[in-house]
Amino acid sequence: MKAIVVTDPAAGTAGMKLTQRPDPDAARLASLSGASYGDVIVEVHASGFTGNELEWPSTWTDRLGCDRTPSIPGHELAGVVTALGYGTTGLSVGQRVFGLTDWTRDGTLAEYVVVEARNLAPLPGDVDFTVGAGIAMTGLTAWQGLFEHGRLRAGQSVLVHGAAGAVGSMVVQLAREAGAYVIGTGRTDHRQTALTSARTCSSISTTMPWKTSAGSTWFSMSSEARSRSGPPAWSEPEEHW
Amino acid sequence: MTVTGPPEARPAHGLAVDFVVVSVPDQLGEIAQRVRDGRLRTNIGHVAPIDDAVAALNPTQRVAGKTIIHVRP
Ligand SMILES: NC(=O)c1ccc[n+]([C@@H]2O[C@H](COP(=O)([O-])OP(=O)(O)OC[C@H]3O[C@@H](n4cnc5c(N)ncnc54)[C@H](OP(=O)(O)O)[C@@H]3O)[C@@H](O)[C@H]2O)c1
Repeated sequence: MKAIVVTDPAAGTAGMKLTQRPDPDAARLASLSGASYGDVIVEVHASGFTGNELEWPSTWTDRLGCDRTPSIPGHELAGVVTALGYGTTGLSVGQRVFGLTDWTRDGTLAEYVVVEARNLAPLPGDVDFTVGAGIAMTGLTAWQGLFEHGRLRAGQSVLVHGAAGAVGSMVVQLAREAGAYVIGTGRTDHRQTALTSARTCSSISTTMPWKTSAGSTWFSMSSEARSRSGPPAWSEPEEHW
Repeated sequence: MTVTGPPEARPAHGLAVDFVVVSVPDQLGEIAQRVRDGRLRTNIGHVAPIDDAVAALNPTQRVAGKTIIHVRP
C-alpha cells in the first residue's frame, strides 16, 4: 500500500517520504492466531495530521520502548471498514467510520490502517470523509477540554488561545453553544488570517473591536448571535483592522 | 486547560489541567450530529491527495484550518 513514513526524528516533517508498505494482513486478523482482538482494518479515505506529531515520543517508540520506525504518522481518519478481527461487535465490513487511532501504532497517512474498533464511530452517510477526518481530533479535543475536564456550565467565561486554529475554532463554537462567554486570542501578525479563519464559525459575532495588549491580539465574542433569527452576523472590527 | 503539554508553572489560585485526547465514539457522534445540523462549522483548510501529502504537510507559509489528505479520491 502507499504510505507516508518517517524514519528520522531529527528531520521533522521534511523527512516524510511517500513509499510502499505492506498491506495489513486481513487473514491474520480474521484468524485467531494473532492477538488482534478488537482490531479492524479500515480503508482510509481521508487522513488528518496534527502539526507537531513528529515531536511526540509515540511516533518513534512503542509502548514497550522499542523503536517503531519506519513509522506512519497521521492519527485522524475517515474511511470504510474492510476486515474485522475477533471482538469487534458493532462494526461491519463496508461500514463508514471515523475516529482517532492509537498514537503508538502506524497511523492513517496510508491506504489501510489497523484500528481498535472501540476507537471508531459510525460516520453518518451525509458527512463526507474529509469532514469526518477533519473533526475527529479537533472536535474531541475541544469537547473533552470543555465538558469532561473543564466541566463547563452556561454563563461561565472561556479564554481560548489560538482560537482560529483547528482545535481552537471547535472550542469557540462548542463553548458558545454551551452558553459560555468566549474570548479568543490569535497572533498579532496573523490577525487577518485568524479572523478569516474564525469567521468560518459563522454563528460568532464580534462584540468588541480588536484590542492589542502586550503583543497579543484579542477579540471577544458573545453568544448573542444565537438568539437572532436569520443568518448569523459577523461584525467587522474595522477601525482596528 | 492545556493541550500542548504540562504547564511550566502551576497557578497559585487555580487548577491547571493538561490532557491528551482519547477517541470516544459517543462524543464523535455528538460532534458529527452538530456538523450535520449546522451548529458546528468545520475548519478545513488545504485538501491534498496522498501523492502530494509531503508537500502539503510541509507548507511554506501558514495555512489556515486543518490540512486533510485524501488517500482515496
Ligand atoms: N493534548 C491533546 O490531546 C491535543 C489534541 C489536539 C491538538 N493538540 C495540540 O494543540 C495545538 C493546536 O493544534 P491545532 O491542530 O489546532 O493547530 P493549528 O491549527 O496550527 O492552531 C494553532 C494555533 O496556535 C496559534 N499559535 C501558534 N503559534 C503561536 C504563538 N507563537 N503565539 C501565539 N499563538 C500561536 C495559532 O495562531 P494564529 O491563528 O494566530 O496563527 C493557531 O491559532 C497543537 O500544539 C497540537 O499538538 C493537543
